[in-house]
Amino acid sequence: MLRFLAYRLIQSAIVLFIIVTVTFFLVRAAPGGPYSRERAVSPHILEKLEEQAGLNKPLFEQYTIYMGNLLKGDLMNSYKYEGRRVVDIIGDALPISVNLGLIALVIALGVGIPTGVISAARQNSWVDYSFMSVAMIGICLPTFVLGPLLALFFAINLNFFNASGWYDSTDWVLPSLTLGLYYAAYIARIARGGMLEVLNQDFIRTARAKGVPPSKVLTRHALRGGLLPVISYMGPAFAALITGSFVIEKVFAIPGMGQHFIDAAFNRDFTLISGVVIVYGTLIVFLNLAVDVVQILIDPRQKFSTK
Amino acid sequence: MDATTNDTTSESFDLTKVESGQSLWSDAWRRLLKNKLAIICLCLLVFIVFLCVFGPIFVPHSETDQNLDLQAAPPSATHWMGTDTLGRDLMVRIFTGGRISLAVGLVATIVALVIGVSYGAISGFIGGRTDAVMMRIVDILYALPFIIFVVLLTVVLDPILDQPWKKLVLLFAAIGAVEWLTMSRIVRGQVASLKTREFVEAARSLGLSNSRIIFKHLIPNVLGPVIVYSTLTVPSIMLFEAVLSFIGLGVQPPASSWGVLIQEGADNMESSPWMLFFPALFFSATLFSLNFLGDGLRDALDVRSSKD
Repeated sequence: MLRFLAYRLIQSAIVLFIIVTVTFFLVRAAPGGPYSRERAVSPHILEKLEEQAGLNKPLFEQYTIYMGNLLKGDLMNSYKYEGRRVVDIIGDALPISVNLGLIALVIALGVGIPTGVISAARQNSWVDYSFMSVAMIGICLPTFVLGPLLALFFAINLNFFNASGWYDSTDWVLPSLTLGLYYAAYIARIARGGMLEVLNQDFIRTARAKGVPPSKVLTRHALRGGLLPVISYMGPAFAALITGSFVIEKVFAIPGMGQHFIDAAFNRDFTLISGVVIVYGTLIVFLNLAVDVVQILIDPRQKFSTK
Repeated sequence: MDATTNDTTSESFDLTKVESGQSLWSDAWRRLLKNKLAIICLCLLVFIVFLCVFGPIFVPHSETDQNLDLQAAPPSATHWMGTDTLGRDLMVRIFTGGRISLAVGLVATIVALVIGVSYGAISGFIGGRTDAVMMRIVDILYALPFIIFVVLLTVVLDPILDQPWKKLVLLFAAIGAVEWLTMSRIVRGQVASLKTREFVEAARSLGLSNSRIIFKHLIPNVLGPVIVYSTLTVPSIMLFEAVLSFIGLGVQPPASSWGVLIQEGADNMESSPWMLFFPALFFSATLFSLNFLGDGLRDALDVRSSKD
């Protein structure tokens, strides 16, 4: 376990280093700088501005300065929002996105797992067929279709919620439902597949033969192995929730990280883009690590296959 | 390949010949034919592709024709699916947009397929240290939030990509580069177990080169999982393209894709709901049939769902 953790921590460090470096050079390799989109400024002033921001130094020197600051936990100042630190901008936006993502995750797991487990327990019954058909429809209704549809129906026609914005807790309902239900459909299918595989194994038959009641076979014996595929899906799911939130934040006009990421990239706000990507990258890398650890705790066999 | 499988199927109904042995493919095809849902999905898919490729020829409007008297008009006898805010016929826009969506899905899948299969097969065949290093690289790439890089790349390279086709090429390359990872893992696992089998030994004793063994003998044997996984990759790529187009980073006007049309529809859904409904219907139907077809193929080719 310790060896595995050490290996994964080193890997995570390498990944984070690659993320930071690639992002740094990628955004600077593009034509245009943070000041090139403003009202025409004379070349003289532009030079002065860039000098102030340290953009006239050699690229590699800028890189070492940035990395040095990063190690101190400083993401430097935004170029676009003058005088504001990137850390502060992200500090405002991140809680909103995390809030949205967490509720969506709870919905996805809370709806997806029971649906999948019940479908597997009643395989080939009408319950199974109807659950799985609904799940398939869910998968084929991407967030950017479901979101506008929900907004049209519940916000505009029925007037239950606001169609956009992020002011009080009722505004959380539609966005997190849109994001969560889509992944609930995925998780339901994965959970069903995993449970079916386990339910066909010998030890389940033995348990049944010993007279263990069906509900107990399901919860005590099958669940642990059957939900492994769901747990390994959680890694990709976190990354997907983040991309999903780009769309959701656009549909419902939510001032989260996704909006900042796209705006900053368009504005060539070098420090803000790098900051957002670093935060995203760190989140994804460490959530993946956490998923792997949980997986090994549940199923020690995994240690040998992922070594 | 379709033609040959069809031939063998017609033979397989002749019961006397069944015992003379059937290829894996005719067997799989027969099983697939029994799966009504998969066949319905296959037909639906063929129909949608046909509409997108040939549909615009039969519609008496072109995608750029603007009828300024009929802006955002509901479906009618002349415009079966209504018009958009600029008075363009929505049906023909859905067909031509579908060409792009389907092309992105197909081409990016092929990119992913070629890279993933070659990489996985080489890694699995060589084994040992090389294999370990190659798979660690895949591990690291897996952990990178690629989607973020693709978004970044499309924004950052925006000024250089002055022509729509350049943007499309970038989309193909970027998405294909992300999706090959899983494919390479699947193929690697299969090849690593196949290479110890006798037919590989026989091929080697005949003096065949490694590359010939890999590409002529091993890869054809892993086609089953590869086909299944490809079928499931197409919808995920199409979804990805649509997400990018939806947030304004993918296909740019005047070209359109289903993602672009859905985005336009979402903007106008209060006044003209059909602008959201029809593109979403085509998009969802395509995803639906590809997913079910993939499931059907998995059962027909008897591919285990495990990814290793």
